[in-house]
Amino acid sequence: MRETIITGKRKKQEILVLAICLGIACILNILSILIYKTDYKELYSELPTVFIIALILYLLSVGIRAGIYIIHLLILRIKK
Amino acid sequence: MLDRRSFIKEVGLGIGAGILATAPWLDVFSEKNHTNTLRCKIAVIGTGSRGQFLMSLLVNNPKVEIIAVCDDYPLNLKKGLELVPGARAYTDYRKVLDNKDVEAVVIATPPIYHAGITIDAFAVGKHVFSEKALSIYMDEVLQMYNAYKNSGKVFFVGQQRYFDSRYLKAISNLQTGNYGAIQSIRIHWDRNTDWRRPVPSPELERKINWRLYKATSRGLMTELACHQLQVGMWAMKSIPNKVMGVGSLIARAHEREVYDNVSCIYSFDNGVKMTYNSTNSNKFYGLEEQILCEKATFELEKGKYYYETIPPAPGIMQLLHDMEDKTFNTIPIAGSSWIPETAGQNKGEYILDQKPDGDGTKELLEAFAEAVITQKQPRNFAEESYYGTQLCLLGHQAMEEERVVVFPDKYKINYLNHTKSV
Repeated sequence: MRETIITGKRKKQEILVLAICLGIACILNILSILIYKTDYKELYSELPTVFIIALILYLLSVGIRAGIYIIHLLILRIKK
Repeated sequence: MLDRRSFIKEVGLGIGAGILATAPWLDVFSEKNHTNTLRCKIAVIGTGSRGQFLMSLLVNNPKVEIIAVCDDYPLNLKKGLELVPGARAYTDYRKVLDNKDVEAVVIATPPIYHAGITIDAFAVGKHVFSEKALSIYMDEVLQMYNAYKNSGKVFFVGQQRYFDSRYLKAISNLQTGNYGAIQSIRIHWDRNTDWRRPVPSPELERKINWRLYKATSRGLMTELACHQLQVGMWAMKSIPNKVMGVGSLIARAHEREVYDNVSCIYSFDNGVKMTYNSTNSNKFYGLEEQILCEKATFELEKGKYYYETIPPAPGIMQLLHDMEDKTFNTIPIAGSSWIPETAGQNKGEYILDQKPDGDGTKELLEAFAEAVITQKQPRNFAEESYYGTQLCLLGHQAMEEERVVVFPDKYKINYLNHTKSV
C-alpha cells in the first residue's frame, strides 16, 4: 500500500471544518431552546446530541468534498 | 428474616410516621418486641392448593412451627403432610382446636367453611388467619368480625396486597396529595380459565369444584374481586356506599353456575366511582388496578405511574423532528379536523426501584407470626379485610338483584366513613 502523508495544512483544515460543524450544531441547539421555549439547562444537557450532530455534519462535509474532488478529477481526465 | 427495618427499606418509604399513616398494620414489625428467638405453633386447616402454598412459605419462617395439618380430603391431607412430615394429621378441625399446643390456625378451606372454623377457633382462644373471602354471606362475615372483637385474639385475612411493597409505596405516594385527588378507580381481572379441576369420582364434584357452584362460591367476586376492591378502598380511605352491577354466563354456561363475566360500579360518597370488570374467557388485558388522579395515573400491578403532562422533548430533538417532518412528509390535501385521543404513549415511571420478590403473601404470613407471638393485633388490618369481603359480596348482591344496592347499616362497623348502627 502506498504511503500517505497527512500534512499539517490538511490537519488544520479538517479541524477548522469540524469546528464549523460544532459551531453550527451549537447554534441549532441555542435556536431550538429559543424557538421551543425549553429549559436553558439543555445548553449543556444536550451536549451529547450536539456532538453527534456535529459529527454527522462533518461526515456530510467529507462526503460532499470527496464528491467535488472526484468530479474535478473526472473533468480533468476528460479534458486530457 | 424480615424485620421492620429491612421491610421498610425494601418499600423505600423511610422510617417514621409516614408509613404508619398509609399502613398502620405495619406496626406489627415494631422492633421493640424482640421476637427473634421466639416461635409460634400453628395448625393449617385446609391443605389444598392454597393451603400448600401458604405452608411452603410458613415452613421457611424460623418463627413458625406447623404442628398440625387438617383436611377432610385424603389427597390434600397427604400433600400437606409431605410439606410438614412431623405434623399431626387431622380430618376434623374441631380436634385441631382441642389441641392445646396449637396457638394459631391458618384456615385455607373453601370460603363456606371459614366462618364456622373461625368463630370456633376464637371461642377456644386461638389466633386466626383466614384466607379470603371471609365467607360468601355478609351475615357470617359480620359474625366472624364480632367473634374476633370479643376474643381479644389476632385476626388476619389473606389480603396480601396490604403487605405488597408496590402497593404500600404507591398508596403512600397517592395519599401525599402530590398527584392530585383521585378521580376514578378502574379495576379488572381477566382470565381464560375454566377453574374446573379433575374429579376422581362424581360424588366429589361439588367438593373439589366448589368455585363453580352458587351454593359454595360467589365466583369472580369472591375469588378475584376480593383482592382488588380493597385496594380502591385503601387508596380512597373511604368505603363506597353504593354499588350496581351486572353478571352473566357467556362462554362457560355449560360447566358452572356462577358468573363468568361481571361488571360492577361502586360509588364513593364524594362521587368517585370504582369500576370492577372481570371475565373468565379472555386474558388479553390480564389484571390491573388503575387509580386515576388529577396529575397522574397509577397502575399498581405493573408497578408504574404516569404523569398527565410529560415534559416536552429537548428543543434540539423537536427541531430535528420538525425538519425531518417538513422534508419527508407529503403535503396533506386536507388535514383531519379531529385527532383520536387514544391512550398516551407515556412510558411512565416505576413505583419501586426494583421489582418485588413476591406479591406480599410472604410478608403477610410473617406479620401474622409476629402478631401471634406478640399477641397484638395490627391496627386497622381486620377492618380493612372485613370490608374487602363485604364489598365483593355487596357487588354480587347488586348483580343478583339487578338494582343499585346501598351498603346496609347492619353490616357497618366503626371504620373510616362508617359507623356501627346501634
